[in-house]
Amino acid sequence: MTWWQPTLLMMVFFILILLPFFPGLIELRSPKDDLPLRIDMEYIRDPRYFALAFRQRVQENLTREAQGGPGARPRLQPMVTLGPGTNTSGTIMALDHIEVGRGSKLGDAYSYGDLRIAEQSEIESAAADGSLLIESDSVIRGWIDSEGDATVGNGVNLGVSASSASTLTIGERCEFQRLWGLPVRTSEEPVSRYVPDFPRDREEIIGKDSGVEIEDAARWSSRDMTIPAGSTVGRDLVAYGDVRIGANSIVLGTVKSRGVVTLDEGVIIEGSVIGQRGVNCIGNATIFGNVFSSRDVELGPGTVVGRPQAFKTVFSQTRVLLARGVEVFGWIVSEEGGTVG
Amino acid sequence: MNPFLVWILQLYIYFVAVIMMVYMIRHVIFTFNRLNKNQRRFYHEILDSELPPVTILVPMHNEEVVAEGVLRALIESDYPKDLMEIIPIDDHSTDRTEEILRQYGERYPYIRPLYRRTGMRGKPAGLNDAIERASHEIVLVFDADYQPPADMVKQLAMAFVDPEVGAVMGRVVPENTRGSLLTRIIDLERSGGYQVDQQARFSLNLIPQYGGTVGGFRKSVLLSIGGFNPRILAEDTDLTYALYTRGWQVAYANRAECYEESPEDWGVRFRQVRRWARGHTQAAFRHFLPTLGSKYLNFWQKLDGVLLLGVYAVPTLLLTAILCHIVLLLSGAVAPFTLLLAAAFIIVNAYGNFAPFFEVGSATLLDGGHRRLWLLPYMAFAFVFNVWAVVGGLKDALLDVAREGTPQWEKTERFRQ
Repeated sequence: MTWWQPTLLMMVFFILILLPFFPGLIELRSPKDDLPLRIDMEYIRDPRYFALAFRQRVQENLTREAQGGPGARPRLQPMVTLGPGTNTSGTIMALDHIEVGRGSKLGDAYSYGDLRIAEQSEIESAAADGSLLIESDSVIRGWIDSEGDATVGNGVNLGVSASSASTLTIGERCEFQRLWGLPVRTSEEPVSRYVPDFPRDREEIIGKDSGVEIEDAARWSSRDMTIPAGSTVGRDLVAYGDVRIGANSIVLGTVKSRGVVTLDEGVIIEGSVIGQRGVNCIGNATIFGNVFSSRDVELGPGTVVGRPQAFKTVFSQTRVLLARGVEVFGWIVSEEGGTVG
Repeated sequence: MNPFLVWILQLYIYFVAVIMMVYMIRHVIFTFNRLNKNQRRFYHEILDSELPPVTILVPMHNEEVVAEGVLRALIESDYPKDLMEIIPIDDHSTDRTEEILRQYGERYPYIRPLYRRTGMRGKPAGLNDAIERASHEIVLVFDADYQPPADMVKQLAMAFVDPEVGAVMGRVVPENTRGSLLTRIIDLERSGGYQVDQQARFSLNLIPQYGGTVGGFRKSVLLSIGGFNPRILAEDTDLTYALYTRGWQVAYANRAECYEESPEDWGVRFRQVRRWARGHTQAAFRHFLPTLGSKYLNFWQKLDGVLLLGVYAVPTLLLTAILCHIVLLLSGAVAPFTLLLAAAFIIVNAYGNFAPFFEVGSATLLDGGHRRLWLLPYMAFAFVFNVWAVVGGLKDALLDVAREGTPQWEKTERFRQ
């Protein structure tokens, strides 16, 4: 072996050792990615974000065009009527009313008054400062929003978000991701059971013969458990297995399960319902708090979540299935898409 | 050399190598989960018009540079002010902190400063005093150098809708990344630690950790365990394990992001890591057996809990294994183990930092970083640096046990201009 061979080997060795540091040296000498991770310090979640941002943008553009002051109403036609089968990609606006004919394809529509989209139409987004009507079998690619009542017919795909500052009524076979309304309703008639009268005695379980064995206060059960029909549970209930609350029972707290929570007919929950593996309300349940699950949430007929004075959330990381006759005051989020049965 | 001694040293090296492998596999699982699996959602998805009243504690010791920043950020929060109480804790300050707090206290009725001039100094003792004055069940804590965004309080408070949640933890994001190589490395470490490590532990239903700031807890639960132990410097780790072993959980809010100020000086960082290691080790002594024996934890939670408790012991184990290896090398009994130790060393350096390289790299990509990934190899320097700080912290913790004394709290120096 000659002298240069080990020298060469040493040089190669050190080059290979130092090689991974060269790109970093470039970044340190001439930084191009050294800003902190961006945090929006003023961000506040708003379920009507799309619509409010759109309105603000439209207002800014119109006032700029009209050269009026902030808040000036633009010079628009009072009423726009589009015949059946209209196909346009622009933004349609009117001061008082927009009427879109059957089978039309539109971009955005914004009415300072009411807006009606006839059946089998397809639209990017629709906003109305008055009432909004989307007739059956239409498709919303983006979002819809209204200040007044919004009514959606059967079989409508509601896109990313459907919201109303007032009542949002949606028909059968509708598909959705996010719904906001005060309330969101799946029947035309309201469920007249907002504040039922029930005893508020804070006891563990009314009825000593209930047969329910409670392991301890932190965890009622490490396995599945059933609360018998007609019980009153006086506090939060936490179980590691599935939980079934028997018919006409009352829970004066929150129900939390790492499994599935099933609420039988007529159950009243004063707090929230959290079922990591799913929540299933058979029917006519009244939940004053939120419903939260990493899996499916099924709300049976007559289920009410929230109340007129307090909005709440129904959240599923997978699907929300709403029966007819459900009423939710607030927000419904179904990350993998929800349906009305 | 005595054959029995050789056998013991060999056994120890094997043991350390296995420990290294276990930690590496744990981090691989976390990273794989974060990159490929659907992540568990936090409760900030909930919009609720009925918010719980909260008390916010801000421990301060000579924080005139940053005190106004954190108070202003909290004042600008969207949380209803009639449901919010802020207690800045002036802990024996000798600078303008008291004056600043008095000004804010007079101007905003929901800011009620606590001035501590007697008693033990330090964050746990200060928090204990403030908790006695806290009016509300939900207590949030922000360090003085933090700047919570407008919706932060709401996001954290919402975790307590779950009756199993005893504490909540948000994500810490370094703001002064442009300060130096050190701040950039800390930025990478923080990214890996939160974006991947904490989130994966939350998703996998393991042991996400309450970190002492950008988080909160239930007052009644804390009082039921006797408050914070002022003899333990890592009051956050202590609370985490006290909660889990009593059936409570810690919720992690990855989107509840809050800026912090990182140390820009290696000496300051050294003392910070040493203090963490000391406190964490104190907590490990206290909670190791209760974690293994807890009826509320399943096998995987116990395993993760024990590994998390032991994380600051790893550098010391590695260092002693290297020393054992040198002894064996000198005694001529090294041959079968050279490869093994070399492999363990490479694994740790290449993959097995506190937040391993692939974990940090994945987290940085998830955060949208690109060229900052080029700095990953420089974490090797930080690792060697951290090893020394952690070994020092372990020594301190052992001395604390021997002396049965109360350690002196040391504040991290601020760099904001």
